[in-house]
Amino acid sequence: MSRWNPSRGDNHRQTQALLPWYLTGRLDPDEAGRVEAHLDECGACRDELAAERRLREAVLSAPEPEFASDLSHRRRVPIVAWAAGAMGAIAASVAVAVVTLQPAHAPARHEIYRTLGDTPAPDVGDVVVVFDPTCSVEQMHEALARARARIVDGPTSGGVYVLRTPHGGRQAALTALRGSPGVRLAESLGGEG
Amino acid sequence: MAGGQSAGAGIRRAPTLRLVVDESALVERIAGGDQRAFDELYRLYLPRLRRFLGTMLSSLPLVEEVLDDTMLVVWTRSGSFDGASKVSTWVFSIAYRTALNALRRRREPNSDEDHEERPSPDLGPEEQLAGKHARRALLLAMERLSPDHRAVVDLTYFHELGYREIAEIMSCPLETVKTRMHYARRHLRRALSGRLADWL
Repeated sequence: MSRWNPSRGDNHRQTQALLPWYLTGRLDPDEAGRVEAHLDECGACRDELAAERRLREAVLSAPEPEFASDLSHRRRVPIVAWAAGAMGAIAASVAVAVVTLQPAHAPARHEIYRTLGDTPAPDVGDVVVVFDPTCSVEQMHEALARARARIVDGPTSGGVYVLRTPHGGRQAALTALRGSPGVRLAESLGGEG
Repeated sequence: MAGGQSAGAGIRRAPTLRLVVDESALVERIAGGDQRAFDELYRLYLPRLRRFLGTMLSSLPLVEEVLDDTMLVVWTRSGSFDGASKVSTWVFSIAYRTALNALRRRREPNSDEDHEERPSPDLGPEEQLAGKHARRALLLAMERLSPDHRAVVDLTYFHELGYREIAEIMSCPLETVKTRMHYARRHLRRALSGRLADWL
């Protein structure tokens, strides 16, 4: 417990503040013991505990925001898919995301491929890159020119750019990017390159 | 610890699979460039992070973006994880900071500093009814909380984290976590006044 003055008023206040974590069993034994001792002698806090229990159950049983199960806004392959994509399993990674989002309707792998294939080719990136904060505009331009790549998405809130590299030239582009000053990370988004 | 939980129909809680996975070992492998380990950690955390970020943010594209960025940081910074905190604390703190940065950049209305001082929305006559209207009232009340308050509620109720871990995730004092939770509980209960009995 960070601060717990043994006075009755402080016990009352601290007990009320700790009830959410008392309910989930997340207090250490000393704290839980003090809360229980106070509950034994305070009817108001027992009522508060009952109200807290009802509130918690209400919050847990409330529907999640509607957008959480709405896939219609998916705009691109998740960037993190590059990790699995580097092993030639990008569809599996995407499937993980989709199954998690819509457990009641998990699309077959070929369905996912078709969905991705329907995306207009010019908008599909195949490399993600993160530049150093100190990277100058000139360095960025030079890196893109050496890789013969162009930016098709980003930056995301984390400063990630998605690039499109020339057909058959992805590996060369990755090598060029990784060797360029100002490039912190360059990874493939999977598939054949 | 004697704080029992009373289960109710339809109540969701965070998956417990993490209990049998050595997450620290996964992060160590990720630091060594093991992409399979990254994929495994990604699968473990995707549902939890989606839930958490969905609570803090207001749109699916933004949730996706912050989720991607969070996992990218996990990949690039895994070498800096020293085991001083739990992996879940480390991952959630990255997600929290990334979400806050995204909110600042997007300047979403619900990131306003004075948001928590606004009154709860008025409920129309239909929303005075019990049952589903109580759920509607709760969702509205949650929306009126600031992202910080929603984060504390979600981490406490759904992810069942202790207040010390939440303080570490949010980089704030312990008392701040308690104060935020106290305010959120009061706000939600006020919005649901008289409706909780009709809930379950």
